[in-house]
Amino acid sequence: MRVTDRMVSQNLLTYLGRNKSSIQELQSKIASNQKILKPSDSPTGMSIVLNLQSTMKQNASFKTNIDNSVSFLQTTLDTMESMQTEVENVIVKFSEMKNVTNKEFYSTYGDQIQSALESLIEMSGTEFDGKYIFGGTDYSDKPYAFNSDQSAVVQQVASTEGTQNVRIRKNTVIKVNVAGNDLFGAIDGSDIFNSLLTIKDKLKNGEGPSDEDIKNVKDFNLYLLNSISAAGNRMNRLEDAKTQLNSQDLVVQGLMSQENEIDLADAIMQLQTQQYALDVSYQLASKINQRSLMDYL
Amino acid sequence: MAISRIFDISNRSMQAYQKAIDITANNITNASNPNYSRRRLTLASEKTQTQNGIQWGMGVTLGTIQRVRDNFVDNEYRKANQNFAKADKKSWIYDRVEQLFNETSGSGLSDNINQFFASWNELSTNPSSIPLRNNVINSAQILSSKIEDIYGGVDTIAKDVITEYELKVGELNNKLSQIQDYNAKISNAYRTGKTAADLEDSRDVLVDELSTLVNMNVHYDKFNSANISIGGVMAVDSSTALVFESQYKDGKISLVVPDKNLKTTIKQGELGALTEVYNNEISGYKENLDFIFKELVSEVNNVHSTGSTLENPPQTGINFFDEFVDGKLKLNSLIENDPRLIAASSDGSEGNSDIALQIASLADSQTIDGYTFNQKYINMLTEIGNNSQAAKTSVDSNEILKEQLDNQRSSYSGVSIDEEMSNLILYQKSYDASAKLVKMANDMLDTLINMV
Repeated sequence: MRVTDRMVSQNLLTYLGRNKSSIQELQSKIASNQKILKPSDSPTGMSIVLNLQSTMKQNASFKTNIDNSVSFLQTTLDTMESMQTEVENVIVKFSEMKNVTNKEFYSTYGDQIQSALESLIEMSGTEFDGKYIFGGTDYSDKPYAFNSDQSAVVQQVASTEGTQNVRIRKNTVIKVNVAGNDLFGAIDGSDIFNSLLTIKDKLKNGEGPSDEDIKNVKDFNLYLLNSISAAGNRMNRLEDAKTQLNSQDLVVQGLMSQENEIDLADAIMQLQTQQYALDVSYQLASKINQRSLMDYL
Repeated sequence: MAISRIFDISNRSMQAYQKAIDITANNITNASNPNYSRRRLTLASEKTQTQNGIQWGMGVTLGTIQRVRDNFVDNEYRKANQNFAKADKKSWIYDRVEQLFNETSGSGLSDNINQFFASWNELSTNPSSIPLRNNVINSAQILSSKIEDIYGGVDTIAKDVITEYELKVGELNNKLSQIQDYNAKISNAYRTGKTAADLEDSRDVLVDELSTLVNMNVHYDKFNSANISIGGVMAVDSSTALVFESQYKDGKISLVVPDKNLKTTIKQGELGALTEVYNNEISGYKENLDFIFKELVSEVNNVHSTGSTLENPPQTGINFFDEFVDGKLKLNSLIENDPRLIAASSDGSEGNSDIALQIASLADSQTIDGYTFNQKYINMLTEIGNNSQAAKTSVDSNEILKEQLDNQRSSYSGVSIDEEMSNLILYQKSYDASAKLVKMANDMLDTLINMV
């Protein structure tokens, strides 16, 4: 084939250009440590990476929710356990009161019951992050308190039965509160607060607690123990969910790495090869381009 | 007489070789001129004379000075050039579009959409918290400004495409009028029996440049005028050159000749790329985004309006978004001023977060053709990526083809210094030999004369 001088120099420039352009591409990939810098680098890869990023963001959101809920439930559990201790003490005192010799101390017992009652009411109004933990979804006021003349305990808010729902997985929504309505029941005189108030009044009047009064308190104690157990289970469920989310995150991270991160060793090897090829092209050019027939005439 | 014939022959041969050296010199000095096609002198034998039954050769004569050019390879080159220019221009436009949707930095539109729904999810744990409500408003505002940026960017790209189109149409008209000029001159030369190699070289350069712009067909008539048709319209011959204009109608651009009411279909070259991308794709980006975000607004509002605000007494029936129009995602201005108006609760109590949960779960609801909002956006991005990748591949393969054809052209029409140098030596020696012949004939004549 007839080869002209222009062809030789043109070809040299073309190959040098190609060489340099692949070097440049490798350089930007190595510097950014990403295979996919724009959609055209790998459209399917980019789609996978974005979907994975979406999953990771959702998981982060769920984990925050779980953390918040765990703190909330922990406060609830701690409060319920303190309540249970208080009620347990009251029940012990009931057996003491049954002993006829302790009849003269009824007034003192009355004071102790009053103190236990006030303690319970205070605990029922525990707050966490601006929310009354037993208030359901109504946070306008403490759920339970004495009425104006201290003659009864009333429910101050319209309803304590609301459910606080939290999403901890894509398709999992769980209730994280213990509603006041569930725990204390309807405040109708046979509830724990008013029962204790009745017992205190009787004691102050020199009368012992009736069997029905004692039964109310013991029933509440049992119910409280069950609620503590149920709340404990819910805590476990939350922590399990968090562990699962953590391991899912690891898998997703791994997939993203696989799709998007470059193999640094491989890229550097390629870069070196290209640079070597570039050097060789330059050397070859210097030998060929300069010669013609005129040098020998 | 035989000796005078020698003078005659030598004379003519010296002239011939002088001319040959002239042409070789022209070739050598133009060796690095990329637009030059080498000239080749054909030397032919002069017609023989018959005298006394003997045939006498009459020496060498100048044949034609050929301009060495292969029209077939030229045509192939121009076709490859059209394809290459189109792919290159498309690639340029797609590069800009990809930069607009910059997703890999972690603050792209996909991320903003995710963050918007995540903020509702976080609100659900503590729906009465004002900071969390402000977060929701904040992430909606970030989403809104990102969308506005993208629409603005698409508009800028569209404007730039139109500007570029008009610029190229100007170039097109310019070249056409120059080609027509050359056509006229070359036709005249051929009509009077002359050649016009330099003019043809210059014209070929223009025609090559024209092939970068549009799809065209070149036809050489008998007086070597290059008659070019563009997109189905005869654009230039030896007497006329059409003036093209860009026409913008129904959101599509096209190339027309307004004086003669002619329309063209431009499929290749830079104008072809600009036309295709503008007409078929740029409007599509906005349409797709419109579709996604109008659905988003409608779905969020549907759920939000069933919820109750944090006020006392709580209100219901409030929309979270005002509307989505012209690329602006407008939040309800009342909510922007008072975060308590976000209706997170389903029953009016402040701790109830059912509405917030429902809105957060819209992130996974497959409301658009079976895809979620984010997935639909990612699908659109994947399509852009595919188009861009296809354009890049096309650029690479067409570039290789174009270079091969260019090489072929160069090989045929280019100047090889080695060849010219060896020709030079040949002609020089021939010239020397002819000069020697004259001297010899002179000597012979002298001898004859001195005999007397």
